[in-house]
Amino acid sequence: MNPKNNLTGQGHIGWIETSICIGSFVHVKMFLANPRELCQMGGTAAWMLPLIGFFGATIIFFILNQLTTTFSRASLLSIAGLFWGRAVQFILGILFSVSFILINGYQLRIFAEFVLTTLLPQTPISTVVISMVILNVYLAFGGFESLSRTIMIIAPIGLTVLTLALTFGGSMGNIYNLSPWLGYGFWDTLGTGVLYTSLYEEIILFGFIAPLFREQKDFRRSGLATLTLSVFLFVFAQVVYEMCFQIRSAQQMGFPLYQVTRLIRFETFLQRLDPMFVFVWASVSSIGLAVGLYSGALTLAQGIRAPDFRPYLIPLAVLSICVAFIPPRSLDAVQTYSIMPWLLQVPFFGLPVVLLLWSKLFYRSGESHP
Amino acid sequence: MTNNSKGANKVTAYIKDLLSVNESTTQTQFSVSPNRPPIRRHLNINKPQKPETITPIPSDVHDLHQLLKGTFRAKRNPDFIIRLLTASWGRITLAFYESVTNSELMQESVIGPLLEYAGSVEDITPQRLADALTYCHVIETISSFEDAVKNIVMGMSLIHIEGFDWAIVVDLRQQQSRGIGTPRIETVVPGPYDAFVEAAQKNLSLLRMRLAVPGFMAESLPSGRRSRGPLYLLYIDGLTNPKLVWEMRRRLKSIDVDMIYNIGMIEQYVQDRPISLFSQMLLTERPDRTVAFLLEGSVAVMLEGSPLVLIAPVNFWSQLHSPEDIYFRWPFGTLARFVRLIGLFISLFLPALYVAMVSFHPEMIPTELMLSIASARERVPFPSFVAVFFLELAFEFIREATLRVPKVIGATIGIVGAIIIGQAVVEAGIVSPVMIIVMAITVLAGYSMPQYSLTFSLRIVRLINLLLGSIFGFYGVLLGLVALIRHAVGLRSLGMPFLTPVAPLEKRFLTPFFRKPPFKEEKRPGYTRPLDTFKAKKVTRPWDASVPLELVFLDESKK
Amino acid sequence: MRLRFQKISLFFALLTLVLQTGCWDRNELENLAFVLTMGVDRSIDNQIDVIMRIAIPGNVAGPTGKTGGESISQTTKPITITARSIPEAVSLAEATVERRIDFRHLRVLIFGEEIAKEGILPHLDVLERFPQFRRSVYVWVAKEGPARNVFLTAEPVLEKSVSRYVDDVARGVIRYGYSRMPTLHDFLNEVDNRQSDAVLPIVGVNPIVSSEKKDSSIKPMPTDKYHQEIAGNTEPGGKTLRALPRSGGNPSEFLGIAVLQEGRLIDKWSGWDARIYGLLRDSYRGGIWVFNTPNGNETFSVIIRRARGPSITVTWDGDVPHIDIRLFLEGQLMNVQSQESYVSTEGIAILESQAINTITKEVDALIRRAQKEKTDPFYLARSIQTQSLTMQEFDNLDWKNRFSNASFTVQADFKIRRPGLRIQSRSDESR
Repeated sequence: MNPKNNLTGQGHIGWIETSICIGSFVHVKMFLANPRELCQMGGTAAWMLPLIGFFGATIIFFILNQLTTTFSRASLLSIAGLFWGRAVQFILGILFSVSFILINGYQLRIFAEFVLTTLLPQTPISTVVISMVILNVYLAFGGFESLSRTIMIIAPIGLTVLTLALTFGGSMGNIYNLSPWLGYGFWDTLGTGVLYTSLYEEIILFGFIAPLFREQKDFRRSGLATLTLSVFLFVFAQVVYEMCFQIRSAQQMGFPLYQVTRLIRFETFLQRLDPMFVFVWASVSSIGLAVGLYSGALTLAQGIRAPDFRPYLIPLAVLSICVAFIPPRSLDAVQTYSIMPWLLQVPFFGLPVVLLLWSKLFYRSGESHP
Repeated sequence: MTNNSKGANKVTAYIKDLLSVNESTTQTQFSVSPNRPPIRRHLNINKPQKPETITPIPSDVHDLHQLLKGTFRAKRNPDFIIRLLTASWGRITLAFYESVTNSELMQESVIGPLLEYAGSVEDITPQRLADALTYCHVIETISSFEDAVKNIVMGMSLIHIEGFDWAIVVDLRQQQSRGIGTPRIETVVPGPYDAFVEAAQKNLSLLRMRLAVPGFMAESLPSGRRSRGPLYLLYIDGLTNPKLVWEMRRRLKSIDVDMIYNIGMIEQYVQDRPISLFSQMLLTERPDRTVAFLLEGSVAVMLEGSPLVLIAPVNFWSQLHSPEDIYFRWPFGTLARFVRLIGLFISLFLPALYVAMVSFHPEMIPTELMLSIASARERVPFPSFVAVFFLELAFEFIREATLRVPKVIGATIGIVGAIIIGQAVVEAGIVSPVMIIVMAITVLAGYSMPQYSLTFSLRIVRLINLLLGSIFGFYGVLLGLVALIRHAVGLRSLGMPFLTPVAPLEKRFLTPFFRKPPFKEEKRPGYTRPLDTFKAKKVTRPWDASVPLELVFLDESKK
Repeated sequence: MRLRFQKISLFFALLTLVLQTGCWDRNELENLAFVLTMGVDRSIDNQIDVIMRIAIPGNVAGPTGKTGGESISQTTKPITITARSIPEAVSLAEATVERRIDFRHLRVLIFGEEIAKEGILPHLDVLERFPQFRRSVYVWVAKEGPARNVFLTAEPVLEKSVSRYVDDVARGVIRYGYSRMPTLHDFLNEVDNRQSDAVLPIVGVNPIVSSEKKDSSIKPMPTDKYHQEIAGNTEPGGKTLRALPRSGGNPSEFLGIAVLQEGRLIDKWSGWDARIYGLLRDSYRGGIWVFNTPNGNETFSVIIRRARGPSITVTWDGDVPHIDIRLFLEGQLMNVQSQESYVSTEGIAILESQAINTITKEVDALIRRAQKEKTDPFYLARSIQTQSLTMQEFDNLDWKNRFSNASFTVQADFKIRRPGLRIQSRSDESR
């Protein structure tokens, strides 16, 4: 009956690949304007914000885990459909798809602005956006398996280069730039940190790709690995960024991590390697963007109970391009993109919570459990 | 009007085609992974396409001769011999091709015993006849004329005795083949120096010389409608995963063509993704390599008349490996593998990166070098990517020319190409000297790949990357890189992911890069899912106790 | 069939679309004019002079063995444009320079003394904003007069390449310690810090050497004339802001630092002061120091290296801070000019304490000088920063005012670890 039932017993995705893949989705924002925003919100304590958000995200993930255990790793939307009927599933599917495409579109725009600022100042932005979207569609067309395997090849290089860049960058910085230790104060930092649980809102994707996992153990492991990897990289990047820049500079820096790599300089021959770093980061980001597009298509397919997500990739990619061109200035794009996650974490984190509550309070598994 | 609407229809159909995908094909892809259900889409290979006519063998000598002569056009084809022997006990017909039959063997093992046959004619049976021919090992009884024809074209000799509606065929073929020579493509410094030849029997003997297991199978399968030699499907029963054997057999049997000229054609027929630029199977001329792959759980295909063996499944990394890596001690092997990995990267990306750096990101080049490149480029009228294209073309010409030119002057061409063109091109100011260095390194890196076909794949991909790099700089190279990886991870070699064990990640994902000392590897690589996982005992060096000398007197002092 | 034709035509359409893009950002190296160094001076009419030194690739040693330019005046050409701002100067320069001007290989930016006194921050905005400029360029300030003089006189002793010259100078500064060469990034970081002031190296033009320069080659003057020129110079070189007594070589010399408050030059410190500054700011790494021996006017020399960073503790007495500074140094004896027998376990301690005395005295003098000007380029507040909890608390510190009334103690920890290859000198006692 359910087309996904055919897939049970079919191929599964490895938990390490999944973690790195979704990790790169979470991480797209780090290469964009995120470290600066964190510095604006948290001052010198900005590096703690991802750490605080991490705990919130872990709770959400355990809720997700509980939910998927109860329903033997059905998709969140299928569970919603089971509870509240097809119409709700449909609406939720559209809602999530639109959210993902909104995120994707804005990320695309800022990514293109990034490429324009750093590598190709005179190339029209549309060329960059469209070429990236074509690549994303190609990547997403093979489904999650191909996405995760692709990142598996890029990740060793990407992680090495990222770590190298950050370590070199960090060696240019001063540890006392991290102090005063509590930023704008303890409660301020804590509050902002909780708000920045939105850094990890992409983990909701686990709820939609849950059927792809072989065992619940893999699901749990993968989610926690994603969160750990993300928090590690977020904190690492943020610490390095703050060490390199006096907080007042850091709050006004365009494309923060790029600026960090531009400082790297060891002898005469080992300097100005930033295009190289940008090159590697952008390849990781391209996967992240592709995962965004894929999520949009997948949630739409699940919401309207379509047997295949691939037909939606190209229309959604076109929509995403349209979204990318909504903001007239790059400043507007960054502004909107920094607020959007705060709003989107309501449905993203709310859905699993509500579903879990509903399943505990109102739902009896005897009724129509498959 | 109608044209217009037709056109519109086509456009809508085209857009529909572009935007939609076929029914999901989740069940049809072959995979070795145990999680995936077996393939249900079987071709009905056993059922022949046309009903075969069966003509009984005429018992009358005259009729048989007429029929044979007609079929083989004996008058115009003196190579085909029909001989009528009259023995004391009856008349015997022999039919064979002279060119492929060993006439001495014919005399000794067939004609002699037959003439001396002492039994009665009435109770002669195929079995008794076969018993009489003590020198022949391959004897088959046939009862239809079609079978007779089929066997004769295969090079067998037909023996028929008057008055019976059966015949026997014996194998008296003589293999015309060159002697076993040294490898030509895959040369190694330490290691065996024998290579496969065109005769499959000799090749099999080379393999059996090394492999002493009863399970080593050389299944013969028909090859082509009009080609003689069988295909051999090689595997080790009890070690190779039977799923792989089934799948390969299925694919081989589905090839229904006139003629397979060389094993390279089979590669194209049975490959999972023949459109890809990368070959997903391995062709080797080395028996030792074949044996190694068979023992790792792959299957191999051998074709009569081809000195190469097709091996599948293989992963991409094995195309970067050479048997030397194993024969040398482990540090050299590991180093060589890393060198080749760097070579792979350079061969794919160096020209693109160079063009991107020179014309998009000059900040990456140290100032002095940048200025010296700039001063060299001031005399060059073309943009750098044109120069790279020009050099690529020149190198292609040199390569083709050295292949085609007669061997006697072949060596000179290389020198002429390399020195004259290299030197003169710079002198004439068409390309800059740095560019020559870049291209030379690139080409050398390309030829450091042990697998010959990989070099060609890399060259094409390199050109694509170069194009992207000269349009978008590093951003373009990035697009190319990611798309290339996406393409590569989607490939499968006989159902096995091509980039395993890296993507998908397996436990021993470092084995392609670090060659462990042989005594530390007890397991076969798991990705072919062999039935027998261990290839060695856990401890193969039980005598190796590295203890410092001091322990001796420390021990004494205890006493 | 039709479909395939359509696919092919679509592919070609895309290909041509892509190929059209070929000329957006692709700039071959020979189409670019790389500016290696740049100077900014106050010009007439409230405008600025922007001096750009453009590299001439053809004169850099060519590939086919042809000899390149002999000096930086042959491998580069300076051009000066007067405009209201740097971007305007760049755009005007494009009108005269055939190739497109590119700043991606810019190494150093030199400000004239006058414009430095007015404030350099307005001119740095373009460097922060425009991607072609990097935050790793060096910023120098001319000691006296305009930066243009530095450009016109500079004549490296060895280097033909400007960028290598700059790199060598920056490396040399770390070696001898008479100055500090922060990059633009370091400088801006210090500017953004409200509790600290920034410094920049000053480039002096030696009048004697520059008078020797004729047609981009330097002809050293006869000894008699040279001795006349340097007569009356009693202080050792580098102690004051005076130019070094020397002849021949490069007219530019790199001793001393400029102290800037909010981007305005407020004081210039000599080479000796710069070393002391380095000790306090923890930017000092090593250098040769010459001290008087305790009994007499003879000297001894020590290579002093930083053993570890200085420890700075600030204690509060009400509103008045008390700063405790402790320096950790170690050294290697280089010579004992006096030929006295100091090199023994007891004797060497005398040399050490002599060095410590001199250093603490100089530190004391320099801090008092800074306090007088209400400036703290040493960033002594860094120990407070690491101890404060919130940013508001630290921002409201008003350190510079408090620093000017602060009391302080200086201690130095100095050990001469190695005597070198000879133990005792040829003094009377040992003979």
